[in-house]
Amino acid sequence: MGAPMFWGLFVACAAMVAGYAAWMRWEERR
Amino acid sequence: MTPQAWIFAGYFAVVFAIGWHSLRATRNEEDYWIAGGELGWFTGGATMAATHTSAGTFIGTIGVMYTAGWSFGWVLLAIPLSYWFMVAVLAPRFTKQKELTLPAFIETRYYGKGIRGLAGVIILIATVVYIQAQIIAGGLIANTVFGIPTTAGMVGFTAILLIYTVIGGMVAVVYTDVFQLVVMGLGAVFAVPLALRQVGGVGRLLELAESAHPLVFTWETMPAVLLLTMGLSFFLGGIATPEKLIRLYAMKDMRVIRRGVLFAIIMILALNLLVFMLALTAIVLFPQLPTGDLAMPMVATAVLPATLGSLMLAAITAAMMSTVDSLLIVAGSALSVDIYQNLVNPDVTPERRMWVDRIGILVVGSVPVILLLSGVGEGELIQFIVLLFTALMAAAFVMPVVGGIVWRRATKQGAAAAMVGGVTATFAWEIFGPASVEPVLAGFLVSAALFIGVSLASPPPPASALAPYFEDVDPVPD
Repeated sequence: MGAPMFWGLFVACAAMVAGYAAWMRWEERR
Repeated sequence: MTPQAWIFAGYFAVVFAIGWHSLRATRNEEDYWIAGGELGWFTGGATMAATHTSAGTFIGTIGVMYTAGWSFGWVLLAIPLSYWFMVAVLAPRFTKQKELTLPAFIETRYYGKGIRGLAGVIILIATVVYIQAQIIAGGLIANTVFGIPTTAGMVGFTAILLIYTVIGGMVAVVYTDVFQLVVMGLGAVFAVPLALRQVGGVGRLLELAESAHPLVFTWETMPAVLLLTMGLSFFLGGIATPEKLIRLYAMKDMRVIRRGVLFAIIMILALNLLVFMLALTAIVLFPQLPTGDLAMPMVATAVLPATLGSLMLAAITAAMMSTVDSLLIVAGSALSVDIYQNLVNPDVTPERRMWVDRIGILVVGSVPVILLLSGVGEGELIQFIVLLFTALMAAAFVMPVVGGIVWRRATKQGAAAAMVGGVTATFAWEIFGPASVEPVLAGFLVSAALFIGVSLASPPPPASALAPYFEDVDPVPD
């Protein structure tokens, strides 16, 4: 039980950063 | 001197050197309040992250996780979302016309000096009380590290903060923030591997944490509804606080803001995740602490070698100082620009303005420590307002700022009602309302209802108030 919930938060944070970075690129290409 | 004292002496020496250098870089009011509005993404993002990370992150957050387990960590995701909202929705129009303070934006958008003064008063009172609580914490740290009395620590801590903030203004705050972020990062980056070595690696940490606190990796310690409302209050509290908005003015342009905030998000998430891991270590090594607030001090003193332990204490001090110096700027500008120069004495000559600005910071920085020394406010009221600080800021300013940017029909009367009503409702909910709903949500809903209702019931705003923010509005209609 521990590992998925533990690493899941790291993955979610990384996904958030990646999402923001992708939005930033899209915004600047527009 | 002990190694601890050397680490702190070196740390303060760097802070003073930056303050002294900033004095020469500060030529006018724009430099003093928004660092000239020319910051790049690295300094802008670093000061955003350092201001965001307070002593609360290192002591309070770790304490909550020690008690409530890993599910609390997921609330962290609300923080990048609130910054994302701020950059995507708020910043493009908000920064079209650069101001020196948040109340100055309120004056331009809501066409009135009175409403600017009102915003200044709300910021001033809430911020001064918040600073007061941080100074108490500073006194306690000084007592731990140097063995001096807590009161001497409070005075010394205030003096250090005031010296570099008064002389160097926002320029000093920004560059000391960069340095303090490095100290925080070093503290966390060195502490976590050592703590992990003590327990035998990440895999072992997870196993041991689960056997010490069987619910640590479940959703049972905090129900989903509670996590969502906490996340929502983090989100609202993050959008429109003055110390963050002013950093949008301090950065050069939208391109820099987007990059700077990306950098800030990465730093805030990384620091929090490292601190969360220290919380798990504390669960494993010290499962029986009476309160979670002891988790960080225990890790710093019992797990880390003495030198690294004091680096950790320096990191906590850095977290606290980088938040308080930004609040000094916010409160000082509210007093000297938004209240004194705006309402009391509008005829201050440009040469004297810089002096009025410095006196403003000196006053807002000295009042808390004078109150504390005379025995006023070391009690529950302070703790009460500190817990409410973010809620008060969110209830007062989210609607007037975000609403003013996205909704043309928003009026002066609506914004004033939202600020007063939001603050009153937050206090009322804290005292009389059920604890299951966060006061910020109650305050925000009242603020939103008043903002919309009163705006619709009052005459529409003049074109001159909308023209700075909406490109299709002609300031002088025919």
